[in-house]
Amino acid sequence: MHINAGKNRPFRAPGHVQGCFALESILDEAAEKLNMDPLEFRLKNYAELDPVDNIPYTSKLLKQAYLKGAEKFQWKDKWKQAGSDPGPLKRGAGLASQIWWGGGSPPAYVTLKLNSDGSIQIHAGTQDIGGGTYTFIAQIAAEVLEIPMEKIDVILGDTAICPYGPSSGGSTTAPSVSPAVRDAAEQMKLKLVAAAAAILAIPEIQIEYKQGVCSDRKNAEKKLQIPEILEKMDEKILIVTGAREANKEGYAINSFGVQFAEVEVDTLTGKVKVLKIVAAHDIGRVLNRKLLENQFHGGIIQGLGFALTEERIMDRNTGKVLTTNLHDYKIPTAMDTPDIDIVIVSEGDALISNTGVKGTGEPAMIPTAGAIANAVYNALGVRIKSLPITPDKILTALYSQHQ
Amino acid sequence: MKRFEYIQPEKLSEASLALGKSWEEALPYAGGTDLYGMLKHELVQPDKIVNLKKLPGMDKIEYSQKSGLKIGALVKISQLVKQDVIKEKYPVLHQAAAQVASPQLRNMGTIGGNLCQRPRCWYFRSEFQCLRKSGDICYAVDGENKYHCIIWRRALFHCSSLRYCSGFTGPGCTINRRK
Repeated sequence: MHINAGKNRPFRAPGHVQGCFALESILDEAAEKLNMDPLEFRLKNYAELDPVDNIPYTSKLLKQAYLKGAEKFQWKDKWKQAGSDPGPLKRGAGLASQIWWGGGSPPAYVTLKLNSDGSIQIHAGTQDIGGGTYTFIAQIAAEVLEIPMEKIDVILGDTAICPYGPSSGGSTTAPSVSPAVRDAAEQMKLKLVAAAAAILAIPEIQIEYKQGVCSDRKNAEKKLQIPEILEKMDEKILIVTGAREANKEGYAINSFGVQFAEVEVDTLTGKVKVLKIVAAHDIGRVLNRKLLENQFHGGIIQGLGFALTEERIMDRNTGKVLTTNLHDYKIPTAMDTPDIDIVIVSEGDALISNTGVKGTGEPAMIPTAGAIANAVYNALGVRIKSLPITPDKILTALYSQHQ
Repeated sequence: MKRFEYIQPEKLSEASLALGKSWEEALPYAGGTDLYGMLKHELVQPDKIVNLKKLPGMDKIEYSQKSGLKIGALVKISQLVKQDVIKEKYPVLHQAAAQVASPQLRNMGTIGGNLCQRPRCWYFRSEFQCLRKSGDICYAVDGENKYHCIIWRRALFHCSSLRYCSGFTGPGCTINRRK
């Protein structure tokens, strides 16, 4: 239906957050009709192959996520007969799972410059919108070249001086850019080893590279630091460009995950309190655990707002949006945030890239609202079919149930 | 923003004189938590702003068994929370004062300003030329009013009919009082 009002504008995993809520609510209903535990129902209908194209996934560890997440959450103890708590405060548990692309792809490049003092600049035409791009780029180069992160400068965002990089969308930044960084750093290491071999007049294979020092495996006395190598080469700077390799054909690349929510609903006021979220995901290799937790906390809190409080309210008579400030458009605060546990079941997907990374930005948020909605159903025995689940909707639903 | 004259009286009589009789011309200023927003959104365009903070004796809380509780207009909301007598004898007031808005707003906002706060109605606070802004319609009556908590036995008392509707208002919490 077309109306004379502003467009809706999705944020973070457009379509999937909304679709996940609808799909996972329906799956919950189906499980209930079959008198099955919703987790058992999902495990029984598990797809090993991509059901659309009938091809294998590069990796799919959703089953492990279901099992490990359920264990951490204590699903068996918390999920109950819907609406079975006595008293006005009712608890419930729910789950929802997530699929997303987020494997990244070419083209993505970085330029790595090694200066004669051993410092490094890495240029990448992508950006850091809070996901930690600066950190992981420096971290990967530091790991490959075995030099301290403090020696590495990362320059992002300026397309006039940086090589092409992906836009910040689709959870593709880390999976696209991190392999290009590793590629560049590996190339630089080879360059240094080749130069050192030539200077020391020994075969490359006889060079041992360790913490920025090239030494002769047969004679540890013979060694060269990075500044010495560049001096002997008569160079002031070494430059390489790394690129993201192509994705393997014949495979589907997806991230997967499940979130479990425990809620307490006050049936007198209609207020929902989220007590616990366990997020168990397959997102390939974790580059940095702290950044990962930040991504997940942010995504889950945003999902919680989408589930319970955030609402674009439009005046029905004029089509004007009324929730135009953070007083009326309510985002969750620290006081609304539950305990969050993050379980990562993947270690790295070698079929995707040389870093094995899948994106995390959007997967973190996708299943939160669906899990909370299913938990609210489990608490009440009444299903709320629109988001956000505000107290008035709960009270109306409870009231009509008793009519 | 329209230019205005800033007056800082030190006596109640001076303040009263400066404020005059019209709310169009002069507005009182204490905590500023409502006034600043109103000025920024150009919901008010006064000629004068009268700072009440230097007026003596208006920031006190007094209690006696006989005359009950007396709260000065310049008492901060957060001061109410710290008073044991309020916690013991007026628990609802204590609870409201402890939960309204955020700590920053409670530390700035005064009880007088809170009672004089203009409606937190989203029609009033945005571009709608509503009844309270010399328009001729209250948009909340037939509009989106689920957070307009002035509902009594399914009849809706819209904000304009309650000239002295006042209360504690803030994110996540609205407790209304009627006079």
